Amino acid sequence: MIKAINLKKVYKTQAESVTALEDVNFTIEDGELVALAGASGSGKTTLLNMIGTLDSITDGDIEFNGTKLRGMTEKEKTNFRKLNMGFIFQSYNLIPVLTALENVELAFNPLSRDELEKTGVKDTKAAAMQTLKDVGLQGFENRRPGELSGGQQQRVSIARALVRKPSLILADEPTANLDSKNSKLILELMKNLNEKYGITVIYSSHDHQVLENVRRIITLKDGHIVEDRRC
Amino acid sequence: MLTILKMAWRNIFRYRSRTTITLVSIVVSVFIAILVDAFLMGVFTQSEVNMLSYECSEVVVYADGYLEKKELFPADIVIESDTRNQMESAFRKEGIDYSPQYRTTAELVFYDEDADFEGTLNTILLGVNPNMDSNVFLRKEGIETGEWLEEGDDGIVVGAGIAGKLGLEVGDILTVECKGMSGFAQTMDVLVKGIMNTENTTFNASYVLMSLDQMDAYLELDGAVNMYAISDGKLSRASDSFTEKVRRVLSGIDGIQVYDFEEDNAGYMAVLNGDKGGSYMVLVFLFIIAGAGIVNTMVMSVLERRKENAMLRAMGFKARTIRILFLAEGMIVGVIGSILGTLLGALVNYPFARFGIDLSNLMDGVDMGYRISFVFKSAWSSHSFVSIPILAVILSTLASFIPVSRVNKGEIAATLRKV
Repeated sequence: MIKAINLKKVYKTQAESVTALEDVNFTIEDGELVALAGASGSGKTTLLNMIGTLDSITDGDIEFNGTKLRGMTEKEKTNFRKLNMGFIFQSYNLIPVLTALENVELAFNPLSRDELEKTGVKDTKAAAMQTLKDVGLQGFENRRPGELSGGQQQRVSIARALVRKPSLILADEPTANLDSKNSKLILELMKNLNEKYGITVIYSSHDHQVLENVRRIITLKDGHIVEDRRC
Repeated sequence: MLTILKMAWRNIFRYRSRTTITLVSIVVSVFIAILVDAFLMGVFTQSEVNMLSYECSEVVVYADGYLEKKELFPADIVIESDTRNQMESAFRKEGIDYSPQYRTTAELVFYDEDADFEGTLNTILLGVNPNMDSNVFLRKEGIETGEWLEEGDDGIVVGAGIAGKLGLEVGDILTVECKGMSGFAQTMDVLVKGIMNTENTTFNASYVLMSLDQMDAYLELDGAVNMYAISDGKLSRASDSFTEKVRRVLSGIDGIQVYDFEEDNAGYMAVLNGDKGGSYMVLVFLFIIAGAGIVNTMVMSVLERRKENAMLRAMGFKARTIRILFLAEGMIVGVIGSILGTLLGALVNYPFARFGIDLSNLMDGVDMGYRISFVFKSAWSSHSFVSIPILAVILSTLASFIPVSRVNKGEIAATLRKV
């Protein structure tokens, strides 16, 4: 369960302070498929980054299964992300010198031997192959990102986020660089994976296709939640 | 770790032109460093061997106070015959090779209608025991024409440089002007018995040798000499233990001092060390240039891959692991560059070390301080083939530290947002 309590984020520059989020409160249960919606600059990516410990919390807190995220050290954040989260980004962020299979298998690299055992994965290469198969990329294992289409690259990044079977996947504008056909494929894939593995998925997006494929939409405007509805 | 090294290896080929430039700078630096080191070592080694073979011995014994005035050729600071007897008895007992010598300056006067040179030439006149000199030096083997000295013989042997300048030939009569031990002027007309053309061009250009007993008679030495050259037969600097042995053997004899090569040639050693320091500064400068190239390459890599690194951090990679990735890249480039540079250096150095380079035209009449032979050979230094590449790898890895420290700066979100 993810719980945001009076969450606030202020970006300070030399010239001014900008409040990106203020007074944000919500609870997301395990296994939910949620979209953070809103116009550009509304604070949805900031909120997603704060949940993912990629950005610091100015005030308030986020609780992840009872663990408070505010005040964590960098080392604790790194460890926390490694054990609980998967990320999907708008621009895929795949490692260009690795093949699709190696990119997915790379997700296991930060795990210690004990941590790997806890995931139940014995053969990381086989697990990466299976996940690529799950996202429909069987036969593309040995291709590098440069040899894949945008949709295929995003599917590799989904496989990379999924392969460790995290309890939460955060996807920042995952369809922004895709055409509608590929967007639909990706969203259906995510929906199926959410149902199949019970992984909590949070999107940040203003793409109507994304919003049509979630079960809950939290809408932000000027850093405040203006609507929280179930579909 | 294997994955990280695999990524590092592939990243090197990701920016081919940039990697090539860095690689070339390392290859050139290592190549030049190896070549310069081989030539310097060649100069130093050859010079030292040539000094020990013809000019100065591994260990030398002077009368008290001689070393301080050595360059002034003091005629009256000598080892008297009584002391000599004690010393030689001690040397014989311990089986130590030695050769007594008397060294002074002399002016050569020669006139020949056919010769280009007419006038006088300042030289070093050395009285040697013709039978014992070979215990310590290779002078006898340097006789090119004519013959070596004999006891009681009234002749001299001269260096080929002197012979060339004066137009001397074996059988000529030469006038030698010098001072006797008590300060009187002595003029000798002596027969040129032999001409030495040794590996030591400085020696060839400035030394005239005479039998010690004849010198004794001409200069009224009364059995005295001003130095004993001592050798352990290796033509390299004597070990500390050998020097100590000589000191121990002579410890009961008053009025003499024992010096090793470095003490006897302090001026030469100072020049040598100065030159070594200067040359190695050039090498350091080369490595700094190569290091700057690596820093530049790594800064570019770090900046271009900020988003990629942020992603790795988001995935849970430790900051240390990401640093290792970049350091490994710097190290791999350093290793490849060092291997190529070493191979190139060895390849180019091989003919110089094996066959040498004939400098006879350049060296004729040139005194550069070092006793380089006409055929100069560089050193084949396995030490530099190991130490220089290792140094290059260490420096290329260290050079990567500066940009790599910037890899993990800032919030991940901010990094992802900026790029």
